[in-house]
Order: sequence, then structure tokens, then C-alpha cells
Amino acid sequence: MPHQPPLDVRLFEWVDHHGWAYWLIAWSTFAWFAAAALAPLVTQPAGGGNNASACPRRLRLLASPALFVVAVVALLCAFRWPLWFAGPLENPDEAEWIAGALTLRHGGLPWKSIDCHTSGPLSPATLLLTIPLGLPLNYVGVRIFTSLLQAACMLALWRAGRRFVPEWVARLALLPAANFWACRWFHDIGQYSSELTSVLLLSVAGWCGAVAVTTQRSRLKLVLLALAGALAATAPLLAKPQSAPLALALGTVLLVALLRAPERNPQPSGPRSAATPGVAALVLGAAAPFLLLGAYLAIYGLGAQFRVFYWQSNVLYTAEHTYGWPESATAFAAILAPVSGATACVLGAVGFAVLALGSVPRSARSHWSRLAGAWLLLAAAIIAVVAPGRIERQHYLHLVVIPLSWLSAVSLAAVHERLSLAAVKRAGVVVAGAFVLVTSTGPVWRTSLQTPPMNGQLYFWRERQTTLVGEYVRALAEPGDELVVWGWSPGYHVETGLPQGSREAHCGLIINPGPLQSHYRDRLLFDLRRHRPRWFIDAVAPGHFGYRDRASFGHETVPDLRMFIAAHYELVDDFDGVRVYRRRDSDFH
Amino acid sequence: MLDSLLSWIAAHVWAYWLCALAALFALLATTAAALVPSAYNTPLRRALSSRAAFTLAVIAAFLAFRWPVFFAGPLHNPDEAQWIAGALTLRDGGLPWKNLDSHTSGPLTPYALLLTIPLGLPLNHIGARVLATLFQIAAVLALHATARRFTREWAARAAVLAAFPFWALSTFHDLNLYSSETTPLLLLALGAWVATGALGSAGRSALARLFGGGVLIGAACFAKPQALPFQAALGAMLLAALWRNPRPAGATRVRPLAASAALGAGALAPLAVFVGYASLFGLWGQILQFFWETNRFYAGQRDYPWWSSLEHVLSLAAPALAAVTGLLGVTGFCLASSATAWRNAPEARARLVGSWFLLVVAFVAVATPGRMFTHYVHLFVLPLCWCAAVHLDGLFQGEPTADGRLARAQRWLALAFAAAVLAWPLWERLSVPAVRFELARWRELQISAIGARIRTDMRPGDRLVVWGWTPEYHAETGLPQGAREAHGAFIIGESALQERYRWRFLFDLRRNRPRWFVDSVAPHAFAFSDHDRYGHQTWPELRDLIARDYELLACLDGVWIYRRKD
Repeated sequence: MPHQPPLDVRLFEWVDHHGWAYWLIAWSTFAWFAAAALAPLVTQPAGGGNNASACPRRLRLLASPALFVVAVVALLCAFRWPLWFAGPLENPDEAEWIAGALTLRHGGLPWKSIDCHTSGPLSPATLLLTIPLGLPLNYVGVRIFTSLLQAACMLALWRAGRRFVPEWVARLALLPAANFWACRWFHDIGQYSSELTSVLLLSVAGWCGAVAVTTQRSRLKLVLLALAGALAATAPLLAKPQSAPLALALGTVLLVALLRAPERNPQPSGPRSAATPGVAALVLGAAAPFLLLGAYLAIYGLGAQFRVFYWQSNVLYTAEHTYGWPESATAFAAILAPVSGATACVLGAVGFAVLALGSVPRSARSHWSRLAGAWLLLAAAIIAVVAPGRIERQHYLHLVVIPLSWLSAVSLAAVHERLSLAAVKRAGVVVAGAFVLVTSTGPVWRTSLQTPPMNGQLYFWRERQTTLVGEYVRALAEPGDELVVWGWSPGYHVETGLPQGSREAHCGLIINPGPLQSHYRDRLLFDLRRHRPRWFIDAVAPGHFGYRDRASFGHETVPDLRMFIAAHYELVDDFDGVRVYRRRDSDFH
Repeated sequence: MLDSLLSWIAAHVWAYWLCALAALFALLATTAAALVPSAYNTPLRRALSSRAAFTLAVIAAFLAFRWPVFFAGPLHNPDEAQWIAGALTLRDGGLPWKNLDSHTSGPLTPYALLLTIPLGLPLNHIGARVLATLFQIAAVLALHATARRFTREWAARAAVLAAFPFWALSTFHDLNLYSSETTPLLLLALGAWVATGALGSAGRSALARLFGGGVLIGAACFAKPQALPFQAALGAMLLAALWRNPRPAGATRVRPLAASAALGAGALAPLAVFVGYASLFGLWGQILQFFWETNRFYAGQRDYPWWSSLEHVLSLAAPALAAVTGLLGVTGFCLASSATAWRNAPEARARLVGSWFLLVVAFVAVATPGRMFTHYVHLFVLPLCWCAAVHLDGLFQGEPTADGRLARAQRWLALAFAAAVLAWPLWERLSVPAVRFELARWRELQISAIGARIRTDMRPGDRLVVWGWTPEYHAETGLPQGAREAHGAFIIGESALQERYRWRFLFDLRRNRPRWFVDSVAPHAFAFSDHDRYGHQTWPELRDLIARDYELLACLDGVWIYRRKD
């Protein structure tokens, strides 16, 4: 009897074979999400009254927070699942983080066993969460995890938003994020990216801050502010330095909110002094990650590594702009353009927010201050996107998603209040309808309606996960083996499950000329001598990312490395130009 | 004298910036003067707020930023040279579709360049660029004159600033050279100005204005069929205004039906002239096959699908310095002020809706051909100016109070608008070299070795045919076209229409017997650079004709120059 795949796999394959079924499920989930977002408009009408008891039970169920959480997760999964099985995509960054996570799982330490270049160690470390979730540490597991991570960011924003705006507004404001993260097929949006950990940390920091600013429990307030500060500082320090403008903006917004809060609740001790403990908690929280990092570097003696390979490397990277600051507005449009539907998504949400600016009454100070904060956050996010000066980095756009949704939330609330004050009938329905129309028509239209990604190809999903090289090494690998890949193909770590034998998962900074090249080359040789990895793959070959010409970029072009490999390794096979070397057994004895 | 002046400025860039920024300051000052309450009746205010001063300031500001590009010689896009070649042919007595074919543009595009002659400008790149700038200045002044009929003077003046990033600050070639959009935009702007003069007035003069406005608007598609959406939108808006227009106090109003008829008759007049011309010269076959079919074929071959227009329209604007920031700055300001303007001025709501409608129409016109050509951005400029005018005006209602509160608010608003529209584009402009082109070598830039070689041997009455896509040789030599094509895109490029174009090309060569034939398929040439693949010898009939009737005079930089044997 031929081997039958499990029922769930067969189900996926069936849906994949029938495009209509995919779209039916995806858009039904979208409709569910929209209905769950709008349901509180009926159950919790404007004016603060609770209409829940008068509503049908089905509607109350639809409006329940638990079901909304499920709807958000289901929405991301329903649209995105074909990409989970797509195997390696164009950008090898995801494989780099998986390689880092595999190394950390084997007891590696940041800057001692792995180096994440322009990202911090939290980018791969976060992927270790796949293990308690029961997900494999490969492309499939990481993509599922990415969808969950994005859902978590959206839910954190919702929890923060409902502290300030009506429940339906906080829910509906997730629409731009859903448009961006669920409905776009561009590889950089669908795969795990180094920005996502930062975005999650900042989203949770924002949530903590929002609760802290609005709670009346002073001790909880201090704890949450310290936590918010710690998370906000961790994001740029240990996950992605690029998120620094966003973290600073969030810190500023929280500080201003704290300093302004006593004005709403005057206390005898004076408005500023009442805010002092909160400010101190926030600042101390923000200082904590720096202290921890300092201690870690001191204990392991990694100060020099950190200074040269993290600080200087990032400074050099940022200094090598491909465009000037005056061109950054055009550059931002150019970064958006390749992601089908992203321009419509961003312009729709920003357009609605700009439109809202004109409708907020001058006297509505709370709305103005929230709008100012939201615009500041969005500006910081856009600055973070353009600051590295690179055009072909669409994954930077992750940084914009949550600020865009937050701006949508405060804009929606402001317009709704304006229309309610003007006694416009069904103001909520009018505003929600306009918002959905402006922010979603374009992106939804741009979601490929004819062909789902991977349509009809899921049957081969297992074959997509690994190459001949990966299979070969996997078959011969033994527990404890380590791998070094020369070139820019960290995917071989993912395919083989082998951790890194040197701190680099790719050799971009070792091969490319640059002020730090000699440092990187020395460190690679040092790692090779210290770790004695059993496998060495020279992936400079036709069809590979980054480096294809062996004569220009092969490992032989570095004399010390060539001699080292010739002395200690044997060529065991060559697959379409990819050379697999194994350490000579004599070296192990 | 001119040589030394340009060399001096090229060596002293601060002089360029001093003049340019002073001219911009003058423009801002004349705009601000309109905001000063009339109670401050100083001579300076009177001088600055006069329309003559504003007009001069607009001309000076646009010219002060743009002039270095006048002397830059041929730029990347050969379209301008194509229109110059067409104008040279028309000057020599040529007729549209009989002696020249403008492909996706109409005959008015090269015809308009003949205005260089009465203006005393040369019919080459320099003259064409000066004329393009003058056309753009005339278009914004016509828009200002139209806007002041509906809005406050300061709003109409400030709206002109919306054109500044595109037509003064941008250094991108497509926005600086004479383009096929330049003439239709001027016609539409003038048409709107003339026709709106009839609103609220009565009598024969009103009907005459409407007729004149209709003629100008109706003629735009004979300069560029892409202007059709604008013509339809402008016509519809004018008709709506005629039927909704309130009767002015103490005056009679022209009857809507008669007014509509005058406007319609005017709009149809260019079509009637066109039909008469085509019938008289027996050119219907040419027009149907080479204008109608070509445009249909062109519009059917999109580079991007309709549904991705938003990204592609932004992407096509992206290469032009200051265009994206100008576009977003004006649109953002108008969007932000739309709710307030809507509330403040119920009587102006139709204008607000109309201004957004025009912007959408501009978007449709830009996206319709489905090509990534940056010069399409021209089509956004006037709708953006109009949008700015009605939104600025709508933001405030009523007259200034005794303490001048409203006037102060208007000043802040004008400042905010100027910042939104100019700040970032100006920053971009300041970040690139002030004088991009080698001004000191401006004469050398006007002519290549090939053009110079032909000029040494050419005689009056000579004609030139260029094989490839290099109509610059017409501009360099001043020779008219010997075939209806100024470039060989449709003859060389494979398409459903290729056979027709090839047949006509050979027909023209045999009939016109041009003295010069240049095969410009050479390395670094525009579009066709592989001589083995695209050279004239790849087409046997043409190869035989050239071998029989022409002699190879020279081969310079891979360009083959042939002269007729007889």
C-alpha cells in the first residue's frame, strides 16, 4: 500500500490544488476579522453606554475579545500559509537567523559564537521560541512563528489602543497592519526578518506604557513603566539598532504622557513631582538592558568584539548611504514600490490620517496630543526605514506597520468624535465605512485575486526545503558537527540543521573589501582553528546569492584560508559548483 | 560675451544661487504682499501686490532656476529633438501626416515650436527649452488668472508655488525639455481662463469667450491625445458651472443653453478643421493607419497592469528630483485642509470636489498609456495648482477683523503652505550641484561630430533621414525630415504595424530623395545600439536602395553618414 501523507497535509494539498477554496477561506476569515472589529460598534455604542445586554447573543459572541484574538491569528494564517511551505525565498537573511538560532541552541553565545552584523543577538534568539511552541527550527517553523509574531504585535497594539479609543476603533485600526502583513506576497514581508523582534518589543513596550499611563494603581504603574523602558531600550540595543528612532520616539511619547497626566489629575504635590516616580521607573527600565549588556560583555571579555564588530560595523554600514537625506522621500517611495499593494496601504492610511487632521476641533487637546504622538512615531519609523540609505531592503517596512496602525486608531477616534459632536447620524458607521474604503480598497485590490502564491505547487513542499547539498551533508553529519559556509548561503545550515562553526553565517563582510575586512578575515581563521568545524562548504557557484564567480570570490582567493582548507579538509563532492569539504579524520584524533 | 558670462557663472556657482534665490524671494514677496491688509497702503505694498510685479516675479523665478538647462544640448530623452525635427519640416512647408508623423502626439506639438521664430529664438535645443519654459510660465499665469476669479488673490498667487518643484526646481531632463505635454497643458490652461471669463457675464462677448475657450480646450488633443481625459473633465466642469452659475447682482446672465452651445461649438471647431484638412489632402488613410491605429496599439501595450498604477505612477515620478516631494506636499496639504475648507465655504464645495476630480483625471491620464515615462508628471502640475488655490481659499471665510486676526491667520496659513510645498523640494534642489551642465562648453554641447560633418557639406533644400532613434541630427544640422519618421522605433522594432511603417518609409525615400541618410545605430546610441542587429543593412530592400543611390561619406563613432550620389 503506497504511503499516504497525514490528513492535514492532504487537506493543505487539496486546498492548494483548488485556488477558489484558498480564496474562499482567506476572504471568509477577512470578513470574520472585519465583523469582529466592527461588532463593538453595536454592542458598545458611542457615549460610553453598554448595549451588550440588548444585543443578540451571536453579536455579543462576535464582539468578544477572545474571538477577536482568534480572528487576528486566523487572518494571518489563512492568507499566509502557502508561504510557510515555500522553502528558501530570495532573501537569505531568514536562513542567517535560523543558523544563529541553531548555534544558540547548541550553547553558543552572542559575539562569541555568532555575530549578527547589523542586527543584535535577539534576532536569532527569538527563534528559539519555536522550540516550546513545538515548531521545527527550519523555514516552515520560522514562517509560522513569524505569522504568530506579527499577530502578537497587532494584538499588543489593540490592547494599547483600547485604553484611549473606543473598542471598535482599536480593533478596526489593525486593518492597515492586516493589509500589510497578511495580504502581501513579497518575500521580505512573508519571511522572518530582523525587524520583527524589535517591532514586537516596541509594541509590547507601547502596550505596557499605555496601561501604565491610564492605570490608577501606582505600584503596577511603576512596574509597567520600568518594563516599557526595558523593552523599548532592548529593541535597538539587542534586536535591531535601526529601530533606535522608533524607540526614542516611543520613550518621548511616554515621557510626555507621564508629565501631562498629572494635569488631568491634579495632586497637591504639584503636577511635575507627581510624575517623578514614573519618569524614574521608565528611565531606570531603559537603563537596565545597557547594564545587563555591559555585565555580559565584561564577564565574557567580549568588549572588543562588541566595539569592532557591532558598533563600528554598524557605523560603517550607516555611513555608506546609496542616497542622500534630501532624496529620502523619493527613496521611501522606491522602497515601497516593489511590494505589491504596499504603496496603496501606506498612502491610504496616511491619507486618511491627513484628512482627519483637518476635522479635529482646535479645542480637543487630548486628540491633538495623541495625533502629535502618532505622527511622531510614524515619522520616526520612516526615518528608521530610510536611515540606512538602502533601497532594496523592503523588510525595513516592517518598522512602519504598527505606527501606521496607531496613527489610524487616533485619527479614527478623532474623526468619530468630531462627527458625533456634529450629531451626524450613525457617525461610527460613516467613519468606519470611510476608513475601510480609503485604507483597504487599494491593498485588497492589489492582493492577487487570481493566483494564490504557490498555487498547485504545495505537493512538492518537502522537496523545496532542501537541496542536494543539504541532503548529502545531512546524511553524513554526526551529532556535534559544525558547519562553515563560504559565500552567502546560510541556507545550508537550515537544510542540515548544523550550527555555525564560525561567527559568520555568511561571508559578505569577509569577501567584500571594506575597512573592517581584515578584522573579519582574521576572526574567521581564528574560529576555524578554534572550533575545527567538520564541514566546510564553498557556496560560491552559479545561481547562488551574492557570489557566483569562483575565480573572483572562491575561498582560494584568500591565501591563508586556501592553505588552511588544503591542509585540514578533503573535498568530498561538488554539486553544480558547490564544493563540500570534510575535515580529515586525522584531525579529530 | 555670452560665452564669457556662462563661463564666469560656471566658475562662480554662488552667483547662480544668489540670482535664483533672490528671484524666488521676489515671488514669495509678491505673494505675501497680497496678504497685507489694504489699510497698509504703502508704496512698497502697492508695487509688490500689483499684478505686473507678480507676473514679472513668476517669470524671473522660473527662468532663474531653469536657465542652465537651456544650454545643456541634447539630453537623455530624444523626444525634444523629434519635435524640433518636425518643426523644421513644417517650416520648410511640410504638412502633418504628409511630411511628418508625430506618432503618439498630434501635429500641434511640433507646430507650437514654430513660435520660436517670431520670438527670435533659434529652432534648436536652446530655443525649444526657452519656449518650453515660457509655455509653462504662461500656463501657471493663466491658471492664476483663472483662480483669482473664484478665490482670493493671495490664494491664487500662492497656488502658483505648487508648480515650482516640477517646473523650476527639478533638474530631471524630462521636466526641463520641450515635451509633448507642454503645448496641451498651455492650451487647456488658456482655454479654462478664457471660458471662465464668461461665467457671470452676459452678451455676445461671453459667448465669444466660451467659443474661444472651447476652441483652445478642443485643440489640446491635437497636441497630445493623452489630454483627452482633461478635455472631457474641463468641459464637464465648465458646463456644470454654466448651469449652476448664480445670476450676478444687477446683471443679466447668458442663457445656459446658448452658452453650452457656444462652448460645444468651440470645442468641435478644431475637429472640424481637422476633418476638413484630412479630406482636402486625402490623408484619411494615413490618419487612420498611422495615428489612430498606432495610438490604439500603443495604449494596448501596457508595461504595467492598471491595478498597479499607484505604485507605478509614483515610481515614474521618482527619478525626477523634487517631483515626489512636490506631489506629496501639495496633495498632503490639500487633504489636510479639505475638511475645514468643506465646512467653511459651502458655496465653494463644488470647486473643492472639482479640484479633486481634476487630480483623479490627471492620474488617469498619466496611468492610461501604461508607460514609465517621467514626462507624464507634467500632467499633474496644473491640477495640483488648482487644488491648492481652492483649498487655500476655502480655509478662511469672512473679512479681516479690526485687529487683523484673520489676516494674521492667513499669513500663517500661507507660510505653512509654502513650507509644505517648497521646503523639501528646495532642500533636494540645494543638495545637487547648482549648475549641472558644463556651461563653459555650451557651444560644443549643441553639436556632435556627425552634425558638424553634415553641416560642412549640406546645401539649402537638403533633407535628412536618420535610421535609428537619433533625431538630434536634425536639430544639429537644421535639416528637415526626408521621411515622415524622425525616428525608427516603429520601423525597426517588431510590431503588428512594422510592415506598414516600413512600406511608407521606402515610399518616402523614393519620393523625397533626401540628400542625407544617417545610420545612427551605434554604440551608446539611444534604444538601438547593436549595428549587426538593427543597422539599416538588416532590411534588404533598404540596404539595396542605400547601396544603389547613396555613397558612404564617413563613419564617425560608429555612425554611418551617407550622401546621395546624384
